[in-house]
Amino acid sequence: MKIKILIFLATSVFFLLSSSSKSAIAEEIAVVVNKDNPVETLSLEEVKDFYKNNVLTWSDGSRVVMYDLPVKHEVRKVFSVVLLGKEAKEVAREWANKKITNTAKNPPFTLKSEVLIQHKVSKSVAAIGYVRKSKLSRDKVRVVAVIK
Amino acid sequence: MNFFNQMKLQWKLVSAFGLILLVTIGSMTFTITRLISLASQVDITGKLIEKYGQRSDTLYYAVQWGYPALREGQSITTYIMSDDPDEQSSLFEKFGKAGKEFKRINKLVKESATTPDELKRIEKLEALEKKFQAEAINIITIRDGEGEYGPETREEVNNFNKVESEFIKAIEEFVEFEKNYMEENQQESNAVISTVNAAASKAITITIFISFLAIVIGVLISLVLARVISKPIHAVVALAKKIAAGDLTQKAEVLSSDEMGEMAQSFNDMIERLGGMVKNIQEASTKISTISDQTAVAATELNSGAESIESASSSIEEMNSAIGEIARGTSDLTKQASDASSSIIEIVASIEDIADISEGLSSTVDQSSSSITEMASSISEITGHASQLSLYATETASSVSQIDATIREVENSIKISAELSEANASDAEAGGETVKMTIQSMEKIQETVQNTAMAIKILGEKSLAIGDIINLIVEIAEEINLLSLNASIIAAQSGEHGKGFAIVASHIKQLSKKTKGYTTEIGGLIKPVQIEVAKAVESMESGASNVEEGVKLSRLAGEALDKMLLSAKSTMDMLEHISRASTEQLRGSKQANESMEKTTQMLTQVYKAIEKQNMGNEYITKATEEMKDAARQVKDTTKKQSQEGEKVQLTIEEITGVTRIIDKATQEQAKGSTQLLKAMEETKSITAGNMSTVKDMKKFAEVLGNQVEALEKAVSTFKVSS
Repeated sequence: MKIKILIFLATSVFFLLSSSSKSAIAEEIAVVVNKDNPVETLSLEEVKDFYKNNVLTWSDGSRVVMYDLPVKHEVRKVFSVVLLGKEAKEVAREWANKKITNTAKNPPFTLKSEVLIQHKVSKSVAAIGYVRKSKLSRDKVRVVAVIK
Repeated sequence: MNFFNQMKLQWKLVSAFGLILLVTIGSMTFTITRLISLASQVDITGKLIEKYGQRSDTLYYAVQWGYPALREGQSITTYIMSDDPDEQSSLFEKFGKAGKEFKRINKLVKESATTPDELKRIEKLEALEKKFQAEAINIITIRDGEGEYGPETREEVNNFNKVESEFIKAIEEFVEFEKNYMEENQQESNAVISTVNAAASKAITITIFISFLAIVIGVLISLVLARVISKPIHAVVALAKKIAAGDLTQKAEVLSSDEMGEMAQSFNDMIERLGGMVKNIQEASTKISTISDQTAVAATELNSGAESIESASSSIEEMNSAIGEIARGTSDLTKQASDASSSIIEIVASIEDIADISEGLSSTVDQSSSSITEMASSISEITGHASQLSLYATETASSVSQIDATIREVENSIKISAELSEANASDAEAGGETVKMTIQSMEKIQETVQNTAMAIKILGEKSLAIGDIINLIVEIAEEINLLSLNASIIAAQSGEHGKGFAIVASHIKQLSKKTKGYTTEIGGLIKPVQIEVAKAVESMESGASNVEEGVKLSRLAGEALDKMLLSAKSTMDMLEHISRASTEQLRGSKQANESMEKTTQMLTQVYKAIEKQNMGNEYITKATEEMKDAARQVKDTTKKQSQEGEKVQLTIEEITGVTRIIDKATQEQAKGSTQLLKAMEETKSITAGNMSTVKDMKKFAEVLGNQVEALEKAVSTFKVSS
């Protein structure tokens, strides 16, 4: 009896999660850099390496400036789960832990909206960020990868 | 005591030392036990102090504890408010460092904790710190999640502040707790330290008392022992003295069975045996005496011839004895001589010492004398220098006074020149004024001359105009004359009617002629006027230019006078300055003069003093030389004395030698005389011939008698108990 209840709960939770992610993935997310950045394309693995601090600099040696959306933003949630394999909240907690112990090498900087991310990326050659493809509005940014 | 008397001496000593050792060991053990107890108390104090030190460490670190927590809290508050990524990353460093420091201090606090209660408190604090950290992570997560200081963060800030203040309050409470504990502990440790101090001082007094007691006991024991050991020795010594005097009736008291008792016992035995021997001798001597008396009587009867020999023999004997006395006397003499010699040697030695000392004295006197002469010579040099100096000073003084005089002259001349320049200046001023006036009058003259010239010019022009007018009048008169001629011609042509006209015409003709005459006259009159006027104009012009030049010159003269006046004034100022300076100089030179005079006076005083010193030095030199002489004399006399002492010693040694020789000789003589006696006796025996036996008997009897007498004498000194 108990086992049945557990199975029910597990399946319901799975469905809930999958449905929420499906609704988010309904749109493609574009990873953007500044137009003056010589990089034309990036693999998703490369983007992940930046956001996980496995790689700290561009090929010319300049420091990568990463932008994030707020934890409660749908796009951030999708980005976090799909690309980094973790819930956004968990990622944020990890970063806070690292910051408190001064072990964070190059943490991403959170911006309030996709418009702000595009604006910031358009201002800085070393910047990288992500926005929904439908929200792309600036000429000065270049899409280097797409998360489906 | 009886038992103690029965002991051997060595055992007595051993027991006495044992007793002293026992006392010493006893006192030492007592002291050591006291010290051990003291050490344990000191150990307790040490532990207390260590604990106290640890507690003070805890307090110190606990006080430090709050700082990183506060810093971290502040950094986090700043972080959540910040939008600048650079500032945020610098804040990471800050709270990272604060966290590390907190952990380091926490470790130290934990290590220096001493009681379980304290540890419990620290663990509680650690838990609070963990809570604080967790809250810090939480608020940063929320802040990062929001991407701004948004409503969620704002809501969380209150929570964070609560946790932080709770944590810091807990630290403050811990610090307060430690402080209270420290204060309480302070009193406790003070009490322990005072008890330790008291115990230490008590131990010290006890140790001192016990050592004093041990010393007193040791001294008493040694005194008793000395008495016990020395008492029988003293008794034996007294007995021995009595025996030496010949009293054999005494007996030693046997007090103990030790070595001293044995000695007393053997002494008693010896006295007994000696007494027996003396008794035997006394008995034998009385017997012999009777025998010898009988023998002597027989002998005298038997041989009278032997008497002479005997007398000779006795005289030889006397001689022998006399020689013996002489020998004794000489040996005494020798002894005395050697005694004298030794004392003289001592005297000589002391004299030599004196000589050495006086030599030393002489050398020191020499040294001092040489140094005094050096001093004297240097002083005389100084005197020379001083006199030179004084000479220079007087020279300088005279030159200074000369300078003074010249300065005075300069001053006078300056005064004079000042006066002169003042006069000059006033003259120049007066001249300037006159020149000014002159210039003014010259200017007026110029003006009037110019005016006059103008008037004359106008006059000349006017006279020229008059001349022109006259010429015009002459021309008119000529024309009138011509016209009158014409009129008279016309009148003449007109006939009768023209006659009156002819008359008028002739009148006119006359009139014109007259006019012409007057005008020429006037012209003649005017011309010289014109010439004069022209001349006057010329002279006036030249006069005006002269006047102008005069004015210019007088202006120049005025300027020159002004300049002169200025220069005279500046000269006067300068002269005043010079005068002031020269008066100051004069004062200075006066002072210099005075000081030079004083210097000269002082120098002469110094010179006098030096001369006096010089004289004193000479006296000293003389005195030292005298002293030197005296020392030398002392030295010489001591030397002589020593030499003479040596001589005396030598002579005494010689005397000793001679007396020794005499002694030897007398001894030899004595020997010779005894040999002579023997020879005489032998002669006697030979001459006695048949009577030899008797003689021998008699001789033996005599000798025996003598010996017996001597023996009796000697024995009689002994007292023997019957």
